Amino acid sequence: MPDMLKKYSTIFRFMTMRALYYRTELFVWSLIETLPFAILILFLVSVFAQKPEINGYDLPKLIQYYLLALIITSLTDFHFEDVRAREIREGKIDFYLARPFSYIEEILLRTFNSKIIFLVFLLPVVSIIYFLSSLHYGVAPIHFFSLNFLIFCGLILAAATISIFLSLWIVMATFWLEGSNGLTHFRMIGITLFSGAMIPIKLMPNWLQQIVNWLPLKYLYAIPIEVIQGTYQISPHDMLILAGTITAMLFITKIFWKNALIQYCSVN
Amino acid sequence: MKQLKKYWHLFWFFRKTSLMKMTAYRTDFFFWFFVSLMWTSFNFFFFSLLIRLSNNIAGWFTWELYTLLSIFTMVDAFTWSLMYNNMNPYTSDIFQGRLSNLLTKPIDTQFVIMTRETSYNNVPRFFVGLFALFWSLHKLNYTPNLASIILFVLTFSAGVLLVYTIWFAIATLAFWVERLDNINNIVPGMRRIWQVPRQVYGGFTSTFLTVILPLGLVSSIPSEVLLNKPTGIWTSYLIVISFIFFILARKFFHFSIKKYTSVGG
Repeated sequence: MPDMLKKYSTIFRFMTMRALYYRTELFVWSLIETLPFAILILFLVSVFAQKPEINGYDLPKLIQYYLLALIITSLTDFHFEDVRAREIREGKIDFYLARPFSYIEEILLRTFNSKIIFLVFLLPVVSIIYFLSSLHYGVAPIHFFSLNFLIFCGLILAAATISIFLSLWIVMATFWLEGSNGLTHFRMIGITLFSGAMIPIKLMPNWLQQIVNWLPLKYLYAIPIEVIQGTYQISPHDMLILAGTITAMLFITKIFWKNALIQYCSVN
Repeated sequence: MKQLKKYWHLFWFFRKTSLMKMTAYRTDFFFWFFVSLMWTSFNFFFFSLLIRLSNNIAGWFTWELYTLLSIFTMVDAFTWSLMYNNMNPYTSDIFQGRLSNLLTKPIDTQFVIMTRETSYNNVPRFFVGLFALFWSLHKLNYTPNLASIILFVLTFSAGVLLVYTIWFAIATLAFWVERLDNINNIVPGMRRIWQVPRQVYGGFTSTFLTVILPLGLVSSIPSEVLLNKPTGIWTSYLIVISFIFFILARKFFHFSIKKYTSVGG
């Protein structure tokens, strides 16, 4: 066990050093992520200039919704498909197949590592926006020492797991399909459309509400945000759906990976 | 006149070679064509959800906002088909020391940099935007007169030129920084600025986004011109400032080139 910890901490430290090499890029990314959100706030101010409340949402509550959506995106959205698909397509993963450190482990460690470094740059920017929004628009503060926040953290962990499985499926599809990284766009649109990242469920048209309520993708954005806002109580039924979804995804990933390796060939 | 003819011929020659490259990978073209259409529809859908929350946003009614969104989509077609595909090789040439290939050619370097590639996958965006524009004008029961159409074409072109010029200036910063791979994601990241009416901005934001860095005018002014809304001096301002930005970006490019070094040059 200590050997394993030592191995992973060494790899993690090495990856951190590599990720910090691109710190200016990470800073630019954090600005790119937050600018559209700042414009959206201004747009929402104009929307609510005519009506103080729309379907149970007033301006501060809706701004908080989108702020939390921005935080969730920064925590659960992964973009390794392009690079990894290229590695597989060009037959460059043999290196990992002959090591006591699997390719999937490498992807996961590097992803978590760059995510942590990215958050170091992004979270201060988001915190400033949150602070300014609470000052100007009366956005309610987040209570970090509450049960709801604890549930929120658990849901975010589950959301990150679902998101990473979806990205891994796209990477693994490269073993069969050449341009599989293009599927990333379908993943992005699917998640944005059916998870509540785009707009709260209550503000969606009825037909979309029905689809969203039927799919488990709502646990990625809409449910965690509603839990924090105190408008949704998580039930055992929800926990069961989430656990079932993650278990099924893990099972599919294992089968997918096993078959993918059989499919893989490179020079030598 | 002879020079102008040469550049006109070259411009279309570049379009032709890009088309030939595209036909070599037809499946790829159809796939990305579909992805591009999907994003365009998604964009319309997302904003339609916000627009339906209120029938008057910053003095713009529902179908007027669709007019603006249509024009944004048309600008977006240029963003992804022309600008993105030219700025990427430009910065990559700087970082990898390959710009000498262009500097030694007997034509204007900036012209080659800004026009050599086209991605036809995103051209349908323009027609989707154009169709939506006709549809929104039809819904508004409004037919613009010839003067409005001419002024629209002029302001639309000025808007596209402004975005492209700002992008070019930002990409030119590549001469000054060690390595910044996402330098070409900055302008696409700012697209939402011209996706909403300029009246949405107030106070300092308004001064900054309509006067200092007037990206807030890019879709708004052509829409207002077409819808016959009073624009005051903003129409002339957009046209003049686009040319000023173009000249400044050109001067910045020539200044930055002096910093460029590569193997053997």
